[in-house]
Amino acid sequence: MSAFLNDYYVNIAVMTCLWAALSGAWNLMAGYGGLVSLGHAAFFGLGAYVTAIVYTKFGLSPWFGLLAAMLVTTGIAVALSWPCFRLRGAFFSLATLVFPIAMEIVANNWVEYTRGSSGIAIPFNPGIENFIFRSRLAYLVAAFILMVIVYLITRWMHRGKLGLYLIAIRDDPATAASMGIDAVRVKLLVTAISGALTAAGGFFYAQYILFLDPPSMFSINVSIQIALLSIVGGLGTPAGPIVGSLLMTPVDGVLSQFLGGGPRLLIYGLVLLTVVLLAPRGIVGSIRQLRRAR
Amino acid sequence: MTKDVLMDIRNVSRRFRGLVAVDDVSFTVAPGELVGLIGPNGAGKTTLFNVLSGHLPPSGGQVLLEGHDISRLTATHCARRGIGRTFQVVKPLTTLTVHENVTVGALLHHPLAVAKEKAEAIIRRVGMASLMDQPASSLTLESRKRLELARALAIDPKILLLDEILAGLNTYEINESIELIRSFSKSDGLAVIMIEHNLHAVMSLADKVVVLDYGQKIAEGMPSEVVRDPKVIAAYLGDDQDAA
Amino acid sequence: MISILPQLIVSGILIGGIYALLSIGLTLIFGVLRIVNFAQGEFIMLAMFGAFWLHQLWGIDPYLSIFIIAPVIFVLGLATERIVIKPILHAPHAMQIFATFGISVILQNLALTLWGPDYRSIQTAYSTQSFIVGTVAISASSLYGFLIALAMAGALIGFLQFSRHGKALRALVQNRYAASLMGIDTERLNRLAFGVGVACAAVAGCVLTPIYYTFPTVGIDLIITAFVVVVLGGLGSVTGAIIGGLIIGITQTLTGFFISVEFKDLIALILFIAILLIRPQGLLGRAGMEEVGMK
Repeated sequence: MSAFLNDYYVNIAVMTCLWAALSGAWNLMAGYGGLVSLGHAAFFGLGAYVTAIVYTKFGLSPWFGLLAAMLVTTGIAVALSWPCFRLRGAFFSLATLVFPIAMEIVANNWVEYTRGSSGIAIPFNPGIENFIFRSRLAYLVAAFILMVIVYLITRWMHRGKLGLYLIAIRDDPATAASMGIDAVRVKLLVTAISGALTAAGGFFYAQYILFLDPPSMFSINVSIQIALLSIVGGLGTPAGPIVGSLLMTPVDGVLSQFLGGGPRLLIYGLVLLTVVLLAPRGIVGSIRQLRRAR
Repeated sequence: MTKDVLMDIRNVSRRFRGLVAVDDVSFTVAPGELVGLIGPNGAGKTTLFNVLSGHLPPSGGQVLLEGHDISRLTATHCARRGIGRTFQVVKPLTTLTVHENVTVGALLHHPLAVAKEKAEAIIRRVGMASLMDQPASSLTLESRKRLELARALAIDPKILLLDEILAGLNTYEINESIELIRSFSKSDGLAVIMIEHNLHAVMSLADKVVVLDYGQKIAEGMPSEVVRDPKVIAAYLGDDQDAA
Repeated sequence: MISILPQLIVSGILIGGIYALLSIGLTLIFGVLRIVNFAQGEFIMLAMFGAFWLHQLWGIDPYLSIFIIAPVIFVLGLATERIVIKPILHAPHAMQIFATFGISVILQNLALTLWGPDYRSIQTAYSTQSFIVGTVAISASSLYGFLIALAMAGALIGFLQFSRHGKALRALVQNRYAASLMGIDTERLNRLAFGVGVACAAVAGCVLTPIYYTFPTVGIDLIITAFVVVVLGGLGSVTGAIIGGLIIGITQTLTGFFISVEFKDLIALILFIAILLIRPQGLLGRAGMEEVGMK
């Protein structure tokens, strides 16, 4: 019983770190470049699927899967986003909404590799070479490392060249161009980084849950949760996604025991709208503002 | 001869559907020269700037910078080649501070640490030291215009396009800004084209004045010559003034 | 194979008319408020459930229920504008997106909580009825839906063209600032535009009920189609939305038949990216409108 309880709490901790990392990867695009993707489930699912296919279909170590997942996802993220960079603001978001839908169609129909709607089960062969562990604590360490990597990248970007350039393009494209900024290159770079990190999250998820199927991997709910955590925590701040996840993921873990998908997402929607209307800077942003005002 | 030409504007035109906003305009700018671009409202001055800075492609003609054709380059690449500009409707990066705004410009040719120092120096030089860490959104119009100038200077331009940076300022601020512009052009050898409605400022600053009317160049020359040109007087005061 | 072609094209045109109506609402709201209403699909979904229940419980014909549902959704739109849209009109893009996206998530899951995930459909007297013209069979409910959509689009164009409020709305689309200087009450018109925009969605929902399944996430499919239509036709162009709707309707019917129903969203995505690459301003849009975004 105590072992179960322990597992239960460790699982929530793992998920908190994983969602913080995923949301942090999204925050790079949305929080700095104003590239508000509503389709990050596509990159998450793609990362997981490439990992699983490399392992189950080609029999290669998931470590290769991680590399392949990051490369493939980065390539596809860049290829899909490139034409969409012509769109500003909400129109970019609308376009990204289609990405996971397209992925799900491919995953459902490319049965030879994805096993279609029956999904892929990854065999449980524990070992560091397979990135499969008996102890959940090992997963916790890995998820924590992923979260820290995303945090450090955001920190590095925050008021560095890439971050400033992204904000410049977001605030005023004409001004940015007049200062010699190549908007497309900067946007591609941040999309590549965000896509690769999201794929790493997908890799982790595949090796942790050991089962994936199209509707759960490419669900709009994944995209919503990714965005929600950053908004609650503070969009465009390095710590925001972590604070958001610390607050929301454990609550979600408890809620999911009592509530089905509908009511749970209803609460998500209400939280999202409340934060947007009452505290649009999120927790970290609001604290920062209070401190400045003092 | 060509050595004395920094920017060579050759027969540049720009049409919007039927409307000819800039019609076959040619003139040159020498290094360190300060050119005043004047003309009534709607004469095509800002459109010409947009063509020179790459924000709009020309419909015809060429723009040469140091002998290279830049008329097909985007705004980004024009900036990299050394064309700095301000916008008539000021466009600060509102979520950044003054210092960060200018740093973004300085990053074009410098790594972050150097860019930050350089930005600080430019901000001091344009007299905004006390506003260094203020968000750009909180600035007054005068400060925003100075910020435009500081940002344009930060990219180490060879030529600066200033679009009505004196408009809306009071006499004191105008005199200060005139000193500032003169110091950049004279001591740093920076070429400047400035669009200006304040003729007093143009007369006291410019080495040469180009006058546009209905998209066409109607006069070019020393400020003292241009103001006596009957065509210029007619364009400014209306044709009926001829009879009077 | 070829003989079926006229049939497919007619079916495509019929559904295209309804797509046009969906898209006009989206275009109107964007044109006036510079807000993309992500919840547009959920207003359609609510109207569909409304029509479904009115028919189930009291046997009210879905076309008649337009007169009940459209006013209700119109008022709901006014309230939404007041509570959610107005406060974020000048907020950063991200907040504008998540405000309407938040409404979308709330409405969708409210429906899911109340009515469950089932696909529902209604049977009417004309459900199985169809008219035969030569080799083409025209389903009655599709035809009625198309005609109502067309009438609604026509009424809306007339309203924008000739009425005082309509002219004021068009002035807002062209230049908000100048319009406010001319003494146009922009706040009231914003609310009106949002109300009318979602009422268009409500009418579309009612006419879709007899020919489509009603379920909580139906809005997602429809909003994506509507968006492709709007981009194709040109942002802010009502005529463009109609032409775009017809083209997308035909394309989807053809892919649905010749390839697979599953692929129609994928085709929409491909079409969408192709438009962006080849003609980003859309068929009838002004160049640069797609880049205006939220400015």
